[in-house]
Amino acid sequence: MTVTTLKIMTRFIHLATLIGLVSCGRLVTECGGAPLNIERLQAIQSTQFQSNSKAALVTPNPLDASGNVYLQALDSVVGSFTGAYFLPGLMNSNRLENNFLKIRISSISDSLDSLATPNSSGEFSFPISDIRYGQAMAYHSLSAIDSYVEALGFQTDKTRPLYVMVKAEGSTSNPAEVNAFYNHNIFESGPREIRIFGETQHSAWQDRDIYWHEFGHYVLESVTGSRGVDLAGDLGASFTEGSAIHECFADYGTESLSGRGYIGRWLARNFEGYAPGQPLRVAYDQSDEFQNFRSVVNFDPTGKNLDRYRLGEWCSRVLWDIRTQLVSENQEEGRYYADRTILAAASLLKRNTSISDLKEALLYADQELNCGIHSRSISAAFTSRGFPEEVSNLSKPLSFQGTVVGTNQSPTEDLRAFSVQFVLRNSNSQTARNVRIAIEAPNGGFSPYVAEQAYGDLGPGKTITVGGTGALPLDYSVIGLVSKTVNLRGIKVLIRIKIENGPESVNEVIL
Amino acid sequence: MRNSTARHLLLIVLILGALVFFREEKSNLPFKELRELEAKIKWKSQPTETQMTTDYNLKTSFENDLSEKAISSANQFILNNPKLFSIQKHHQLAVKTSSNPLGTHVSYQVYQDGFAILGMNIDLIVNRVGLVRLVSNQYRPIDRIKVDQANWLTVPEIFQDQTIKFKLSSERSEEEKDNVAIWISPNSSQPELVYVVSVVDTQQKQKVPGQALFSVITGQLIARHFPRSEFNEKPL
Repeated sequence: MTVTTLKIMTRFIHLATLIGLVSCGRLVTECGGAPLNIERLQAIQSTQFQSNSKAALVTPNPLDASGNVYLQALDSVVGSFTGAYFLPGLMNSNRLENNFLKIRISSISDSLDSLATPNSSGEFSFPISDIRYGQAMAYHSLSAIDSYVEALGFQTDKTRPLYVMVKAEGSTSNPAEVNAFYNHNIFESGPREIRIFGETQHSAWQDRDIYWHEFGHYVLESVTGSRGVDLAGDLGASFTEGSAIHECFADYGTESLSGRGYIGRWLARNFEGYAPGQPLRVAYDQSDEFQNFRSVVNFDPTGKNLDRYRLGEWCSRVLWDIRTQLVSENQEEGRYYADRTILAAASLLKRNTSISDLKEALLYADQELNCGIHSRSISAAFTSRGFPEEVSNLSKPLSFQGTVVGTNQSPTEDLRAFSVQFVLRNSNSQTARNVRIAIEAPNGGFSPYVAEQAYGDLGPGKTITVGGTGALPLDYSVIGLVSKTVNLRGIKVLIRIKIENGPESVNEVIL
Repeated sequence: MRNSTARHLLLIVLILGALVFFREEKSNLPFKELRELEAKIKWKSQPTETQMTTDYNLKTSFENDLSEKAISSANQFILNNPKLFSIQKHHQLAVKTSSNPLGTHVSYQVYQDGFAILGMNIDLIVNRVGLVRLVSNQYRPIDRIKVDQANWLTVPEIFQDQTIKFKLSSERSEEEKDNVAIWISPNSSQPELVYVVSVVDTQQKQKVPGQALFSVITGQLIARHFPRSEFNEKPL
């Protein structure tokens, strides 16, 4: 019997099994992919690791652990919600690190003596207000989500370590200003880094959500081979669909692994406009504007939709719909098959990806892993939230009028920065999908510095105006850099207009 | 009625089986061509596996033979699509793989004279039955860049002339100090030899190190990577 015959027979058995199961009314979640180790995934999800080291933590954070939305870190009652959590994979039981994960306080070059060490019982036990508590929370949270991703079958890139600074140095003059950064160091050298900022009554470093969210950025870069799903954003674009997808996956991973469907209730207490207990973002249905694609993607002259979190939250709801469908098919295991399908789709995203790419990738991953039986629900998750099933091509290109102008955004004094002030108009009767402009140097002479910017969808008859009085600031335009010693005259600058439903157009400007 | 349904199902299965058979056959290519490809492309490194952590009770290694088969299929794919991958003589490829439920991701990094060309990668996925899907191809033919170290500035020389807007990150590691690469912007046809340097932008609110590329010849800033920041739009 030849190998080919065997392969065909195997496929026949798969198909017959699929048809058989569907005809029996049982839904199938693994006809194409390898079986998952559900026991292992459940153990990780419920943080039941086996290891010799433990930490005393309140997970995921005091607010969610207690249900008391008014709780603050210094309230004495917080300690009563502490549990013992395993710290798997430590290289050395005295230090919170392994070959990949390195937990620090303020800087990569922290003195090792300043870092958390276990007590005489071998437990990392600190009050929640002690920054060393943040170190233990970081290690526990990140090793949990890392294990989960690997248990789903994804090999992540550990060729460079991930340093986590739970109270990073270099903060503003306001030590209470909360922020978090993920640095992938995209130019193929240096470690990966997570830096958490801000010390408040609801510090980010006390919350598991922030670690899981930031790690989500690493996972997306890792499973995509660092091909730059948001390269334009990495290089300085204010908004791109790729950046929204980055936030979408980082949120979804947190929301799905916790099973709560929301992110950042503890953290949100630091920001105005959030009621106590209100999450930062939500993946399940809400009566708000993030339900509908048009509300978050249509270009608005105020720039409100040039915000990766708005489109990202919409996107996380699409993914949550898909998860909900798989969970409805299989209450116990559906969530794991959903996460595997969604992460597999992520691994296929192209450079400078888009929502359309994401939809195509989800359909492909479902085809490969689940024999495509969710194709209808995947499509419905998009269309029911306003993403057009089909977009008709524009009958004519967008009209562009632009002028090269100097800016004060030069990053160094030996360089001159220039930008493009422009008006971009859609005189078609159809919406232009995912409008972007890019600056190109066909003959050299300057460096495209902020090389591409995106503006969402531009409705019929609508205009994007960047630069000038009453328009969006030049921060939303592209930037080129040229040496002050170079004669600008004769340098050719191309402005390329990109849309998804029509051909690209190129406009030439001679400096 | 039941017999008729069964016959229809059998027919569907047979048709699908035939389709799978022909798809697979198409990807089986002669080994001779693979050898030619291997001769044509000077491999910068042997196939490598991404290292796993000291794992948390998980399998700690991946099956090498699967990676090798995937690399072999990916090589064949490159060979059979010369219009897509017109790899120039002065370029070399290094390959690495990572496993994934969809199959094996095979990623190629392009080099010239030992210097990585940043932003020029080829990513393929080889599924469980050896079929290749092109995920991303950033390769494009570019001129060989001159590598004459006599004309290079050093990083300290470059930073002597920088204004206070950028300073070298105090967290730069030893290995990073002479990290030279070739940068080809997605929006330019002119490659540049650059230092990859960790810098801090002193004008940022929060001083987060990021990477910047400086020309080894002129010392000028060429490109910069912005770390991914949360909460920019939502101040306290």
